[in-house]
Amino acid sequence: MDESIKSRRLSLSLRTLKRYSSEYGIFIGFVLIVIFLSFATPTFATYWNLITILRQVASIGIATVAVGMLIIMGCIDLSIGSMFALCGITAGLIISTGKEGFGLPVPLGYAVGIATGVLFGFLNGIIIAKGKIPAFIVTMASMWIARGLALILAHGMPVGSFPDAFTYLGTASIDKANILPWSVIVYLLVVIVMDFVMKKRPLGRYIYAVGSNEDAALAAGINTQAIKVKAYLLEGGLLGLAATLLASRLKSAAPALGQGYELDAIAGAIVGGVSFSGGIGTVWSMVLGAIIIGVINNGMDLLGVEAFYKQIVKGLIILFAVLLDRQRAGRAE
Amino acid sequence: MMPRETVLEMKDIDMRFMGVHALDGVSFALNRGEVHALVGENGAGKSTLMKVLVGLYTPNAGEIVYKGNTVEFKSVRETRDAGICMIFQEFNQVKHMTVAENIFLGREPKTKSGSVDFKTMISESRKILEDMSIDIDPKSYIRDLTVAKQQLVEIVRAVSQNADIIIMDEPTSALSNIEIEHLMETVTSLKNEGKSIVFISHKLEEIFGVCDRVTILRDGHFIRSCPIEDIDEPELIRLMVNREISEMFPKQPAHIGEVVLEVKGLTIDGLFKDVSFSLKKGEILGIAGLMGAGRTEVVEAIMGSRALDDGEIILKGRKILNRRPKDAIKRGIILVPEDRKRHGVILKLSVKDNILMSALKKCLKGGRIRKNLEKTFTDEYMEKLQIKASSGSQVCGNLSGGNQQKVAIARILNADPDVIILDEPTRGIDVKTKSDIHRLMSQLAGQGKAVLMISSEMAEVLGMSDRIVVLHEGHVTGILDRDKADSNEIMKYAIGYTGEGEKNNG
Repeated sequence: MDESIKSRRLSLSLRTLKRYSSEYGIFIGFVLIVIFLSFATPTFATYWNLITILRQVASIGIATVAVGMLIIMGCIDLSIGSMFALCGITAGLIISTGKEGFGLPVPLGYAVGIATGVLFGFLNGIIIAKGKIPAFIVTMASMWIARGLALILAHGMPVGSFPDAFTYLGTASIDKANILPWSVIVYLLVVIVMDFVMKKRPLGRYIYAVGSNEDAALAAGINTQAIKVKAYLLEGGLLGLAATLLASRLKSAAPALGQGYELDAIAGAIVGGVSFSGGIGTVWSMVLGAIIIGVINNGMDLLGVEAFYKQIVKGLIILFAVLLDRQRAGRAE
Repeated sequence: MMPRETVLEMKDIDMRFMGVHALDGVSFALNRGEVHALVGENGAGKSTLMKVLVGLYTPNAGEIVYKGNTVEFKSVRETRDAGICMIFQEFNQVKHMTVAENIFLGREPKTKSGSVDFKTMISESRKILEDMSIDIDPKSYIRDLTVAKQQLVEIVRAVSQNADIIIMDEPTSALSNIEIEHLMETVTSLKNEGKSIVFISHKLEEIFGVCDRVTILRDGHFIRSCPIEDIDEPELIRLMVNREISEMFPKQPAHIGEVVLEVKGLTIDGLFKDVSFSLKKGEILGIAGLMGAGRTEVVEAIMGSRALDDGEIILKGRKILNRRPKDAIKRGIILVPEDRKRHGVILKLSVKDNILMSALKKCLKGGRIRKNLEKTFTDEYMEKLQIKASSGSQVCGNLSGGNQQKVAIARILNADPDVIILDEPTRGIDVKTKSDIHRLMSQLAGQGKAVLMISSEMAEVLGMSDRIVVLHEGHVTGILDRDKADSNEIMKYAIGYTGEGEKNNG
């Protein structure tokens, strides 16, 4: 065989390898982490531990999908953590049988929690879209406002005394043996619906278009402002759902609920391959991202890693994920 | 040929941008089933006129009559729904989406439940692409296509919208000859279907090959509109460029010395190829060419902002390699960039900070920046260039465009360069400042600096340059001496037209 052809083949296969390693790098990393933890700890690779991870991931995973959608659109939401508190508390106050609560029917609690999220998402979206203010600034402001409202509504105290019907969703399972928790099912449903929305619905496609090239989307006759408002509204609703689910699991809603969750959610999306420059990312990859963050948290607990070190590990993983993203973006140029 | 029905009429359109009169009472009429060439130099107002039509700009005065009704389109969507579609010069594509998705962006076929119907979208796209004999997979991503294919997708999108009027703004600038042929066939068949096409182009063979009528604009004025048979190529070129060369450009004779900078065979794949010229002491070398000819890219390569694929740069007899602008500045080559707001001055900093930025070391004494030295240098250049600012500490963003440009030039002069590169030094600034800058350029050449000037303004190129390098699509098509250059000659080289009958496709 001709030498030059041979070397070209070699360089081609090297390029393919490189391409695959950046495409699936995160997945490969995930598999390696799982293998490592399975051998390093006796409990990691048990069904119960895996279900525990999923149960923990459910709420933050929904938030990850929500914020991931915004990042694909070229936006961001920093108010996620505060929204968890506010939505959790509004829902909690509605159904709580304690003296501060209204003791109203449970479905109304869920509805109010989600509605609070929708309302705040709508406000965020309308200010960002119509006021043409960077999402970073607007949601930083609403981060403070939502947290403040949560503290005022709850008088600075955790809301508790939830009826069993409310905590059922977060704590119980579909079967008696506790094999498949409801919260995981809710997460899965959200993922399936959102995957459909992002892939098949005009709204989802326009979110990709706005994030990839807003001018082009506008020139193509897409109402980009309306798309932004709708996306924030949807995100808010998902946060409301995630917050009520978390309150239901924790059997209480404190004004400090969800502190720092925005960072975990954003990290999950980024680790899952959502590009910070917009236009790239899938819902299922965000699930992978959220699970990776969950597995690492869990794994470090099992390994007995001190809390201080955990933060460093998380930071390094985000850096690693962003470097991979850079490589991908470079190829797309 | 029977008289055709007028489908669109734009009457006395007037458009101003921040004091610049971009369109001065321009009228334009388009018939059903014709290909209408819209020609003119850079900045003549062709794209602006069309952007007014599609609702991207709102004119200060004038009327648009479309299919018998006075219209005022407020958005691209409105225009499109009315049957007018524009293919923009800058590609408006979503690169992370597929070809099919881009073709149907904003008007996706839907299933009964309102979801995007990908099956129909892809099969429709495939059909349109096949009809136009374009070999692109509708499922491939825009980001993976070549620039030419991206351009074709743009055209396909416009055609597929079933518009009555299609505006093509330099559609062939990125295409190969075969692709151009296909496009011309498409244009002809669209015409035969009764569609009207506005064809903005610099390429004479396309204009004379496919167009029925031509409208010529110059400096925002309407010059002439006539059937293509009534005009020939030299006449067209003359009408595009003809203008009084005013006395505004006082290039004083300077002693021209030895070669300072020489470039040989500069090449960046896809941008320009085999660009060679030399620049002498005391000389002003003009670089002329149309938009997209690669002028800015060439000087950016000299500065080290872009990596060369081939070629060498020789400064005072020594081969150099600039990896970044800092290297070039150290060696005494400095650029005043085209887009002064983006690269020329830092709007949020003061006049003083901007002037001193490239050579702050001059103000260092004992490791500390000395206020009095800063003041000395700032005052010197503010005086020399007559920069109109309340003081050196005024923020640049508050200055007029002309004064900002002077600050940008002061900054490079303060760095004591041997070679000064000016990219569009007087674009969009007032007449008085313009002549100040021209006088300054003359003085600099007189002091023995070598000046390289890119300009799209014919009068400026002719008035200021000792020699003129003309670029056409990334190639040097001519180097003219001052006494042999005139606007016709430059335009011919700039559009790659090299004499009677014989055409250079570039």
